[in-house]
Amino acid sequence: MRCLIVEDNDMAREGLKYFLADHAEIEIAVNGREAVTIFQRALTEQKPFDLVLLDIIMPEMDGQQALKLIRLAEQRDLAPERKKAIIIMTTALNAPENMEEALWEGDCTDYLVKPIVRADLMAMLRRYGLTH
Amino acid sequence: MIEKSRKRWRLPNLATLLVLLTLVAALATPSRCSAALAADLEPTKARQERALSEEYREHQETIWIIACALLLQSAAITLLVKSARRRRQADQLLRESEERFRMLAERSQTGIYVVDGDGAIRYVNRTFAEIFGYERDEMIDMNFRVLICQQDLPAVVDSFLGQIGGRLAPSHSEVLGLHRDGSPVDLELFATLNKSSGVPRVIGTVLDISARKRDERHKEHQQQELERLNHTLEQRIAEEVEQSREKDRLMMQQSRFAAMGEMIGNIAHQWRQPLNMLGMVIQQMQMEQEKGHLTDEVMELRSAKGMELLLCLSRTIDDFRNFFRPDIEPRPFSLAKAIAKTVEFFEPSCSCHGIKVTVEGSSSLMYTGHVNEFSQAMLNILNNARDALVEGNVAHPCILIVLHDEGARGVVTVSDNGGGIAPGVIDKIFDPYFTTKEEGKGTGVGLYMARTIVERHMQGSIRARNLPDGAEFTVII
Repeated sequence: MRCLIVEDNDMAREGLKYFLADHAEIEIAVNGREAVTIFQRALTEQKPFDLVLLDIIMPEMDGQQALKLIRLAEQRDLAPERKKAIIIMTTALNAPENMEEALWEGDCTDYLVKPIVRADLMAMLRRYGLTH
Repeated sequence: MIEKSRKRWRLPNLATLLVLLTLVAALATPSRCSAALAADLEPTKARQERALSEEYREHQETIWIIACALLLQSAAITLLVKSARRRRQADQLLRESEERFRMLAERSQTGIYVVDGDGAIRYVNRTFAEIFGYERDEMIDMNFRVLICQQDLPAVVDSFLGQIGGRLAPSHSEVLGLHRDGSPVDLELFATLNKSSGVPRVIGTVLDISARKRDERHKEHQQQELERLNHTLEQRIAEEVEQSREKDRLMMQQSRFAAMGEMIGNIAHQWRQPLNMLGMVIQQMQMEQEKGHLTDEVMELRSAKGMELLLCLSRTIDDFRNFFRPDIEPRPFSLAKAIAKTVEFFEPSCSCHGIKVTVEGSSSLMYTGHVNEFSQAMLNILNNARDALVEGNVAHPCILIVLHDEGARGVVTVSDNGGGIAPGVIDKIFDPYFTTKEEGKGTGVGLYMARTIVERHMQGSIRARNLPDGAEFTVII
């Protein structure tokens, strides 16, 4: 499993990385713009990501904007057999309206509200068939 | 009468005196005395001739004396006639004068009275009788006490006795009289002692001042009514002012609650990050322990990080509490620092919407006031700008805060690129409960409170205008 962790906070980033270290090959982005670049490059290199943990509030480009661009990049990719990435938004804002917007407009798979509990994350990954 | 009797005796005495003086003058003629002495010394013929001559002279002298006496008598008679004529003329003048005064008294619109020492009325004029509702004849010998109301009677009697006894000067007072029909009559009473008839009497005047008193009472009543109304008005104004103050207090509270709601969102964000990190540290420690990676160094590192995060959370609470704690006493604060602190609290609510917040310029103003109140006013203006940008879904939203000094005053401008305020409502945006936001999203309190704080509490000014791409608020303190 290839996973892209998009998080501007270094400790949160390191924590997620530690949580998934045993389950995935991990790449890191510190803001939305970098995440889109890495995701597009991975598609080009035929090494697409199975999972994206995408923070919403970030400098330069926020998670919602990045989500739209990532999905757009997937649509442009000429490999229709390829499954869309599981994108889990992570947010400090426990505001359902933000999540609804992300789910409907940006087409994210699911979301987790911080503080992230590892057990919840692993259960979610199991639910989407990413781990056993 | 004394004058009259003095004149009557003076004129006859004068006439008599003139006659007596004439006779004395005649008897004491020097030529007659000297002739008698010379007669013993001269011869017969000569004496005869001289006797004839003397006889002739004696006749001549006698005639002269008689003529003088007659002349004097004539003068005395003339004087007597003149004095009698003068007396008649004086009597006539006196009669005329008395008649004039009587006529005046009779026709006077002022009541006139004469009261004996025992209180019995001797004389009243027509007006006096009318004031009390009596016929003039009925009032003669009536005791004046029956004409005075009970409540003023002791004072009037005291005054009367004082006058009669010569102890008091002429008095002038307002008393309540008693009409024949029993109704009270307001009177202005003047009384003085008169002894011209040989017995002490009180004479004076009475004016019916009922109409004037009625007017005075009416005016007094009106004045009291006016004072009552004024008092009521003052009370009403005080109540209205109090209600207005209460409304302001409530709105201030609402505004504070609204701002607190905003701030709780910000705090939630500010807390969730460190909470998430703390959660990561704890879970990581657990995993490291399971994997046998939890060495002493790792443990120490994780503990230090965990404590650092806890202290950060604690500081956030203190900042939050201090920001919203009402200032009790005004204190000097730096305008620049107050703006910096406000932006620090405000910025997180913008970053999640991608709104860029920039502070430019500087101010050296130290203002003595309530810093938290000022910060709240600025926060309300900033929140308004942010909401306009979020609602307008502006491409590159930004808020620019510029500081500068103008003389002794500090100026803060807050501008955004949210499209500005609709021209029709720009004059209403500071009105209480005015909002252009969707129902449930705006209270219409924020800008009203900002204005209240800046203009009323800080004696500053606040105004809004539109720029080409947005709105600009200027606060001067």
